[in-house]
Amino acid sequence: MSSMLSKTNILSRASLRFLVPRSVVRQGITRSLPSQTTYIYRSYTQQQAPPRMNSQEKIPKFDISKLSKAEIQRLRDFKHQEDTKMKNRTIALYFSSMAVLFLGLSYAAVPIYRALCARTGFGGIPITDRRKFTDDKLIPVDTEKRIKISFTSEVSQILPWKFVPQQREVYVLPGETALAFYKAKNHSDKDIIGMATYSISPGEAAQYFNKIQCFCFEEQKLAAGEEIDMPVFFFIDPDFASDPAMRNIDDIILHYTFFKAHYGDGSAVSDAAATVAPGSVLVKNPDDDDE
Amino acid sequence: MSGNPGSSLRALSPTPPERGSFPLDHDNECFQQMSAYLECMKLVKGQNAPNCRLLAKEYLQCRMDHQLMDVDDWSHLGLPGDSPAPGKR
Repeated sequence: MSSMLSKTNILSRASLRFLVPRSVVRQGITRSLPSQTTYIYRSYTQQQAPPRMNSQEKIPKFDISKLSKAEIQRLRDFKHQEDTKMKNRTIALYFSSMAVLFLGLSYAAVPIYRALCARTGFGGIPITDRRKFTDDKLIPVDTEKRIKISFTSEVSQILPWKFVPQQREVYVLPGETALAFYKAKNHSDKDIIGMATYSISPGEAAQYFNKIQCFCFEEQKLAAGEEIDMPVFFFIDPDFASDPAMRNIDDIILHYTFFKAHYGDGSAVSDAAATVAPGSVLVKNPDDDDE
Repeated sequence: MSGNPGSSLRALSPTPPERGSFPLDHDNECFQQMSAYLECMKLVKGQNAPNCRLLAKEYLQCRMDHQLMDVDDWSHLGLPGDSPAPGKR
């Protein structure tokens, strides 16, 4: 009886395409062996039993004209269910893959962030950029105008030191190295460790102010009553002369501030016998709010 | 040369000093060279004249001799090199 239903008969049913999934139709059409038709028939019976069965093996239920409304409805529901199942599975796969992706990103973020910060200096991480200090940067630019570098100093109120610059100002050309001195005197009766930080005004010029060597950001220990000279060896980057944003700047102020260094357990460093453990010193800055 | 001249973001990220910090001259070993240099700068009113730069070179040479600074070529420090006759250090 399967031979009665020819391929063309099945294909001509245009409405069939809407009701029946394409894969099922293809199976039914390309393999017309009796065993395959039995298989297809069974896939329908999983969902619902078609009420009319002329012959279990021979007739596939594709004859629309013979199907009742209920059967068509059932076929339609079956297709809808299959579609929904497929869609749900797709959505679940997408969401789980997104979750895995973000989990992986959160793990990868640590080295990526570190590399990005070291490269761009974002977030205040200093760039150890050797290219700023190459020899060709140390050739003075041939201009008439010299830049005035003024030196100012400040001491934290709890630090009993006297800290002054040795020269008021220096006039330099961009690319010309210059040496400047500060003098610090500890007029207390204890050995004290201090640490200096600096700032450049105006802020835009700070990117061109390169220091070869200075005395900042490291502990400097002064014995009681000791007076010492601290040099700063610096230069202005030659690109300063060719930067249009810097054309109005001919006055730069280098400002040094000395703070008192404390140990991590809160005790002030007061005697020479205390040995400094690296990495255990906190710089206390209680009164300087505007630095 | 510079690929992004004058970007304001660059001004936010400070550059540390190339050689870090000068060791302190507790024994004032280079005091004479320093005072000579400061006198010279007072005379030229801070103009960073070439003769003062030579005195700065003397001071840094003193520091190098007393292990207060790493020895380096003068070209790396932007100072005029020694004349070849007395021999290069």
